[in-house]
Amino acid sequence: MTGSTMLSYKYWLEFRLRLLVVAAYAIWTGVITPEWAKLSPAVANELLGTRLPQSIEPESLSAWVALAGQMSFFTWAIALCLMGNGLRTAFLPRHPSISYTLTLPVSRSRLISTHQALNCASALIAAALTLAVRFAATWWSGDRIPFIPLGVSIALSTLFVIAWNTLLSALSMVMHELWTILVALPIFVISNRWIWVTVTALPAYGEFPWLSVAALLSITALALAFSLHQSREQEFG
Amino acid sequence: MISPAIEVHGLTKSYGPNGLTFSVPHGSICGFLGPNGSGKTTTLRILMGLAHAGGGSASILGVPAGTSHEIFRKVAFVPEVKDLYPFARVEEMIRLTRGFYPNWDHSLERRLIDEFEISLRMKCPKLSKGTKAKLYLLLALCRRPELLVLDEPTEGLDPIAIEQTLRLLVEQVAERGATVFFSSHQLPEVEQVADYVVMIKRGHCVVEGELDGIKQCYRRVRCVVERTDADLPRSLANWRREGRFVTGFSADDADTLSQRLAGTGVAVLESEPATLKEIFFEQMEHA
Repeated sequence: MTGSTMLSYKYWLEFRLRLLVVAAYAIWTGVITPEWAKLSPAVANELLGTRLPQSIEPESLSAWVALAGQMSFFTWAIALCLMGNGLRTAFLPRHPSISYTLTLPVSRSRLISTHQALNCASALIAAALTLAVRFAATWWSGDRIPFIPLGVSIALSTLFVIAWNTLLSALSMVMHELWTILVALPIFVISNRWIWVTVTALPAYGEFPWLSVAALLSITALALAFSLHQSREQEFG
Repeated sequence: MISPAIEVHGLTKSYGPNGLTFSVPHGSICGFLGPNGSGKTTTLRILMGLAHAGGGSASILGVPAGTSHEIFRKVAFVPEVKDLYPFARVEEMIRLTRGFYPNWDHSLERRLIDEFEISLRMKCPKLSKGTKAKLYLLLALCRRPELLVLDEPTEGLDPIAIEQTLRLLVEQVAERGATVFFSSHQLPEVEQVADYVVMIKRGHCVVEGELDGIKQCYRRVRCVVERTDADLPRSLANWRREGRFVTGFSADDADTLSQRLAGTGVAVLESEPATLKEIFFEQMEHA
């Protein structure tokens, strides 16, 4: 078996419980319709803080509101749940088992990049699961499904999940993960509006946020580079 | 000429090694000795690439330490703290490690699971300290490493498991020509299996060489001073004097020492090869 297969197995061993939580949360996000989304579309949009999205037909508006309105929290919840860097054991950053991990015949770069790639895959699966469940729920209730804006919203939210997760994982290289979460909270508050505009509002108006996508890709690349650099510079065990 | 399995030259770090130089020959069982805080664990961490050296050089199997992960196809490490993944069961730990090593020794795996009475379904954090050490040893030995580096491998083990462990280490060398480099505070264990010894104190090497050769250089000698008022010769100045009796260590055998002491009023009573423990104490107190 190759190193990547075994690193995937290690990821599964480490993250199986968290992946179950992520799957449960993804399904729940797809099924649930928040109370505010059950109000009239106009009131719901007031609560959402954006204008009525003109590109969405009235009969599919509630389906869009129900899912797109949850995307901001979705990005942070999944990113936090999948936090980890492949080197240190999640939430046990000083655990001595790192001596075991780092004396396996795989490079630190590969440990980190495989872990992040698997995190990306998990985020994609979670997003696909949410979307599939939401489509099924909408179809079941007889509403029309706003395929394109919802698809774009969920794709963009996945990009946010990946960026936030890589950023949090990079921070967890230099601080305890509980501190990382505390550091993440103000970032969450500050970036909430950005997530909202990018993930929810712009796709609803048929626009694609190229600038945000570029920024997210840059955050991901920089955070990954920081993790790789730290893995070489730090001392372990 | 075969290069040493481990070569350390002028190794320094802000804590631990302080100009440490030694080498470990291929195919030897080398005991790495020193008091607490002398730099043993730090040296092993540097060799395994887990810590950075402040200066000097260290290499394992000819590869500079910390430069290649590929070396871990040939090297296995058992650290001082033998905790494994808190999220895995024993069987999962074994399956995970086995996957990285195509030459995994399946028969040794089965044998050690039986001998060590390791429960495969147990979660790693629930294992006793001794069982963790046994599992770590299993995971290291079944890789068939060329070089086995162990930090206090018998710590936490019961006497039976200690004997099993020491026997396994000897087997590795006898059957496969592997090199074993292990730190320990258990001097009788080291004396039982090691054929090479590196002793360090305050970060630098004070004794290095084949154990038999070292023992030849350290003979425990007991002398009697024929006149109570006689001064000791300068060569015995550091020896311990109790009344008329003087004890100390000498590289000379009894006859040679008797000749050297002729006319000094000191006569050799007995001269025996020193134990490793005696050599260690002598070095730590006087070196």
